[in-house]
Amino acid sequence: MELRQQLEEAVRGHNADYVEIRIEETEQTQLTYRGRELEEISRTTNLGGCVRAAYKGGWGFVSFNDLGRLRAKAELAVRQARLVGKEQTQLAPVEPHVDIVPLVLKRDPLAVPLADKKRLMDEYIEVAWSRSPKIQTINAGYGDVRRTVTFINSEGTFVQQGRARVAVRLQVLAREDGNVQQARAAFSSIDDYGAMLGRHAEVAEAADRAVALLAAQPVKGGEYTVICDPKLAAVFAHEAFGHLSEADNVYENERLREIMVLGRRFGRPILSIADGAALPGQPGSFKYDDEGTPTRKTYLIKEGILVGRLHSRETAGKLGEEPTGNARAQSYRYPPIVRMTNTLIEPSTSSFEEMLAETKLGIFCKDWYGGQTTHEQFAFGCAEAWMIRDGRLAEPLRGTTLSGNLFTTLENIDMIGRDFAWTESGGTCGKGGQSAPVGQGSPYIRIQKAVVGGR
Amino acid sequence: MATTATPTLAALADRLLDLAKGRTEQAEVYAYETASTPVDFEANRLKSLETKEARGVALRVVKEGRIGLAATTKLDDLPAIVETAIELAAFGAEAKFELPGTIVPTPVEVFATATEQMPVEQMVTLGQEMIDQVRSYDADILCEAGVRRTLETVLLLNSRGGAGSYRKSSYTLVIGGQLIRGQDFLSIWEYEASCDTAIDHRRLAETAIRKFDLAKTIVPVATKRMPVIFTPRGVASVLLPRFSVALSGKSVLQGASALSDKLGQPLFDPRLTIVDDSTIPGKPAASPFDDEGVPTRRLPLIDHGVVASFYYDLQTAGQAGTQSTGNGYRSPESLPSPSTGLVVIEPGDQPLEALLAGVDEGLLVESMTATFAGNIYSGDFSGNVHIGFKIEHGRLAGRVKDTQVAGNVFADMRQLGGISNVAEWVGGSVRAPHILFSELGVSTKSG
Repeated sequence: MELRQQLEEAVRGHNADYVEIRIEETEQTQLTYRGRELEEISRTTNLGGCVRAAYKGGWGFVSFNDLGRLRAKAELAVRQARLVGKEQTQLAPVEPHVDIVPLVLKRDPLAVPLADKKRLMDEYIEVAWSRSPKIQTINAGYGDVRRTVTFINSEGTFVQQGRARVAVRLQVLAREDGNVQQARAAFSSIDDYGAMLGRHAEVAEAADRAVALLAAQPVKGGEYTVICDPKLAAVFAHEAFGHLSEADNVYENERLREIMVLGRRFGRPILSIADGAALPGQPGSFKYDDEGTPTRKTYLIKEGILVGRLHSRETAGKLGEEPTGNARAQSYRYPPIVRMTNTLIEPSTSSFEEMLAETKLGIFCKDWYGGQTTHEQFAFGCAEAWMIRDGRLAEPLRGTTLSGNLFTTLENIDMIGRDFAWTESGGTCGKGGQSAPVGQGSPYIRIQKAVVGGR
Repeated sequence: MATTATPTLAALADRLLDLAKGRTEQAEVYAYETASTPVDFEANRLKSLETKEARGVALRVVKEGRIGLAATTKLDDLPAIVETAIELAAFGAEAKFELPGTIVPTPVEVFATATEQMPVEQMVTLGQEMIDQVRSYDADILCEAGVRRTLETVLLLNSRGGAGSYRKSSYTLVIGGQLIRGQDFLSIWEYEASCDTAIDHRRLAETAIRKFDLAKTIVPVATKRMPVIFTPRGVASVLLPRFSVALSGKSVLQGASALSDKLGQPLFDPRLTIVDDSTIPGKPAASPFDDEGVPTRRLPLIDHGVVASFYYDLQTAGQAGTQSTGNGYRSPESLPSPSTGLVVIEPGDQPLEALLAGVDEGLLVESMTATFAGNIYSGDFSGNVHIGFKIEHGRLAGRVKDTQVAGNVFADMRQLGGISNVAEWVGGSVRAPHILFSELGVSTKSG
């Protein structure tokens, strides 16, 4: 194997504590629609690599497109690390292993003719347009990507992994006078083009939602009891707690370590939150992370108690905990950082109907537009909402923002549903200038005293 | 992986254009080469040194009237790129443009030798000095800092004879940190970007310290409508994106813009002027021409409250029956698309002190989180106040928490409470004043 030999020669025998090389090759196709028109069709191929080296706790990193002279690039990364390092490199041990993880696809998106992909998107767009004369426009996209990452480190690990993703999204805009509202449909799969087919009813439903939102009123801001659907609840778990459990926030932050002490109660006994790339079939699923660490499922909160956090080898090493396989890099242009993979709230015993029935005045929030956290305060946007009056869904509301404080809000989750669902399209999480696909799953949840934005 | 000499970017671009030229009606090569040197500090100390190099090409073709695009960083098989672009063009959008036959750059300096020549050791020193300065104010602040340099070469070549290239340097300083007291997390960040190295790192650290100081006191705020002042950073991050979306030629063509039929109408406060102007030298968002070779220019978008112009790239201009405004920007993997470059919101006529003095009970908002919520096309904005201060009787009383602000730029900016007479740079791409809304919805935790 020519590449492996070259990598082995480049990675070995440096005057450093640790050296790793990643080589990445990607192929992707993108179709972008505005209105009925296929506005953009593109295919991108990428080949590049990076070297990362550690010396006395300092890191050097070199990324490149030109794969020539790999040894010299590794030497540069080592020189940089030696300029930085003054303390001690502490990487949690990971048993060296050699593994080739083949890409197993049910139906390979790359093998599907372009004409078929275009026809599918044309159909979906036509379906959305046909729902109402109030449909103003549709932004839609189809994308598929196949990625092969080869990883080697100076400890003897060599891993080659294939990954793929195919995704369809449609954003439907409806308009009435100056009022413009939107709704979306999104599907994705990590192994099957077939999952993109036959989704016409969901597209129609998205168009109907955009139109329905025209009649919805903005919510009056304030504090409410809020019921979140599984999609929104999953974003809540990601923003409200997931980020704070990423150990890179904690490992060099004494104050935060005191707050995030394992064993501390954060929620009621019904609340359990976990994360893991080993959970199969989701956007954040893979066998090894970008440091070559095997992935697993990690409980962050179990029955209300903080029991774990997400690690890279360095954060685990410094905190004396086990690495969890959560070091991820967007591409070869970036060093890996600690990130969530697939994050979920585990189901409990309530039903949506019970939650409604037990809510005198509140808001039911559905689907999401995004979320953000400043660790202690978090906020996330919901796409649709309804007032709840006397235990029943009442008037529709426009999408709004929910926010809260980590320390009070988790405690305020007082009901968790029994019907768990993954958000099919997952989400894209941004951190440290890198984006990563993440899986998100949850049942319905009810939160007391959530702050709802409004005019 | 051969170790033969790497061809120059220009040679690659020439060859690729030659391969595509005879087989298509129009062809354009966009080629880039970047070298970044980020020096990053974490937890008060130097964490890593990095060297990031990238080069790649994108080929846009028009074949039988339709557009195809192929991009790659795998530069060893140029004929394959041509084949891909031509294959894709069969499905692509109808081309409504002619590539510029000549590229006449606007004279705007975006490269500084000082940036190119700055030694990494000096970058390390600057970062450490900023951290030391903030920590001498309060050693409990856990600091992060960045001193980052990027050098980039952009090269454009098209089959109609247009050719141009420029080099750009960007230099960015970041200083900030986190202060945790009890269960209160306070994160403050300052950053500035420039093409040259003339950024006063001490002043930047001082600004961060001033904000930490102001933010230490936490004060309650009521749920009600009240005056809200957005700082330049608040203006750039919360208000401006709503205008950018609404004024894009693409949104207008789609009818998605709330301003699509409002050209020439005085919809906003007459003191409000927003200009797209990528001809301001020394700022990383500036450039001599856009990513299609159309020269940059000064383009008033909102002129004294009147909707003055939309911005276009070549394709959307062709569709709209107008001219490109020099706003065709792209990532290497995508077709150009209308985008603002450097944006200036003109200052108003009141000192900030006067704006503040007129507010009996209100907010000063510096940054918000989750402003993605709500519908950007509708002009709505809402989000959680990240860094914001309560104004009491004309004075900043302290920081607010658990507070949300919501409004609509199109409804709430018809008549403003005022615009400050000084505009400040926000990073390297926006210059904006403070803007006072007479009244916005503010909601907060009641407990």
